[in-house]
Amino acid sequence: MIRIKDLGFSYGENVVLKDITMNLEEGRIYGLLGENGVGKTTLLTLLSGLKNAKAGQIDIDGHNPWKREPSLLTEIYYLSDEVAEINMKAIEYAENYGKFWEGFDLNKFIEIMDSFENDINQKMNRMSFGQLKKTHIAFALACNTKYLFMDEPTNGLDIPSKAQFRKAVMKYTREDSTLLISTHQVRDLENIIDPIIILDRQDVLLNASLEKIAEKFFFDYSNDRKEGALYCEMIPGGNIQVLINTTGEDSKVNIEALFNTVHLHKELVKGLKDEN
Amino acid sequence: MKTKDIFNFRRFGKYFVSDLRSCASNYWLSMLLISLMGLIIYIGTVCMGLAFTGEWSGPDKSFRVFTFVVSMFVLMTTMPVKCYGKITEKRFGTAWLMIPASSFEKVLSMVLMTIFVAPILSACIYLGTDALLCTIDNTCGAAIIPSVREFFDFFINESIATEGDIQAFPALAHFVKEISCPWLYVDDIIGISLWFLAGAIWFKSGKTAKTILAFIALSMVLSMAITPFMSTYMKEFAMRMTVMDSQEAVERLFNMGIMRHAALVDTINDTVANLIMLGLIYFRIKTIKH
Repeated sequence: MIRIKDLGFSYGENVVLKDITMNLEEGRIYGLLGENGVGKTTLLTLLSGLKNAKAGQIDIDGHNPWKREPSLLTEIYYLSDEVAEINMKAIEYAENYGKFWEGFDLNKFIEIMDSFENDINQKMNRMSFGQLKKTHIAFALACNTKYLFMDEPTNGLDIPSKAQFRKAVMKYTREDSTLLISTHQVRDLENIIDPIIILDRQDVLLNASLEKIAEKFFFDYSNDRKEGALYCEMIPGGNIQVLINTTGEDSKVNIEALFNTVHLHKELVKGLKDEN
Repeated sequence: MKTKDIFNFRRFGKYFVSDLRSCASNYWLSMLLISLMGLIIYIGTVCMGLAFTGEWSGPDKSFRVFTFVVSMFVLMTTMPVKCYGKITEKRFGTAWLMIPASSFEKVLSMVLMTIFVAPILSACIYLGTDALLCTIDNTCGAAIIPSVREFFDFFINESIATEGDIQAFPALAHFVKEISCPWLYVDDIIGISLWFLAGAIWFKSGKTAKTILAFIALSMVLSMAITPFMSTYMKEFAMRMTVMDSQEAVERLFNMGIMRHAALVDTINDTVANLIMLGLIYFRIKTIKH
């Protein structure tokens, strides 16, 4: 389990994260959303031990990630938004580095590469950005780590690959794995992320499961304009409106509409924070 | 932190092999070119000789020793940048830092690669090729290894034995003998390699140029720090020269502890400097952020 308490981080005078407190539970795929510059990547790098927190603490199964202890690193994989063009064939890369992660499965790597229609014998520095990204995604999933942090994983992927990515995440991640996926492309991940974390400048606006969100908000897809809608947007064939759920009626959460609602009504939604 | 999180033989072995493979894929071509530089220069010189004078003449002994030294220097300056320089870039650095091996194991592996594996492998290829060429072509003079030994032997035996002036100064002769041991310079070579390794992982761009500039800057600072001490020392020496026989003054100078045990002092100095460099490299790897 990941416990974050009063976490603070700044780049010089620019405070990015302030007093962030939350827990990330096992077996869940968290979607990390937020505007540009709110600290999504910073949070992921702090969790991966690539940066040192200026205040507060991060506890991952009793370890401080900044110490970069091999016993913790073997349970973590961080997929950066920028991936490296290694001067090796994909299969050589997997063989050369995969052995450091205890759960690494080369067959799984080959299988995922195959599902992405990527050639394992192609040199990584001769791949297109999308192919390279898919290779790193395949490697990340094949590592079978307990904690998998991904920063904009669907950036640069073509449409079929995005679908393959969703399938691969659902199929190849461990039952007890905690995934934290930062993204702006919420539609790419709409059906796999739950709970949702929305970061704002120096704050967490929302950290709640879809079930809890649906309890609090009602997502209306009818053509009629409803009074008291917190957010309204025209979509092909009607409107999408977000209302306070007063009747307890169930509705399908539209993450993009939720994100916009949260940003328009920050104070209102702060009460929704899921402390679990 | 548990001991197994600092060093584990099995994990280090795995890491070292993986580091070797990664370094080979990034640097093998440059290393091969540097290692075969002697052969390339030999072929070039012979071809030029045949073209311009019509005679078969390879590069002479001293030129080959010079190109060997230059090639090894080029290797020491370029290898760390090619193999480890990318860890300061976010794309490569994040993946490298996340490899489940300890900072100590990563540093140990890169140091072994930089100061032993790459230079020894390259020097063996270079010197082996040179020895082979000299076996085939008897106009080459002599192979590099015996030539280097000869240079130091000349320094010790010929120079001291034949130069009447030096023979008259036993303490000076002892000093010359002390500093003429080839092994005395091994720690300097290690120091240069470590310096360039530190530069490769410290600077984000212009790594080689900045490393050389940093070396010049440090040398200037150290010179300025030593100057007051040296000027007092030299003044005292000059004063002694005026009040006593110059031969006695020179003998006294070279009989002082620091001169008498020049090799030991140099070794201690270089060892301390190299340990500081190792500490800096470890600190950098331990605290690098992305």
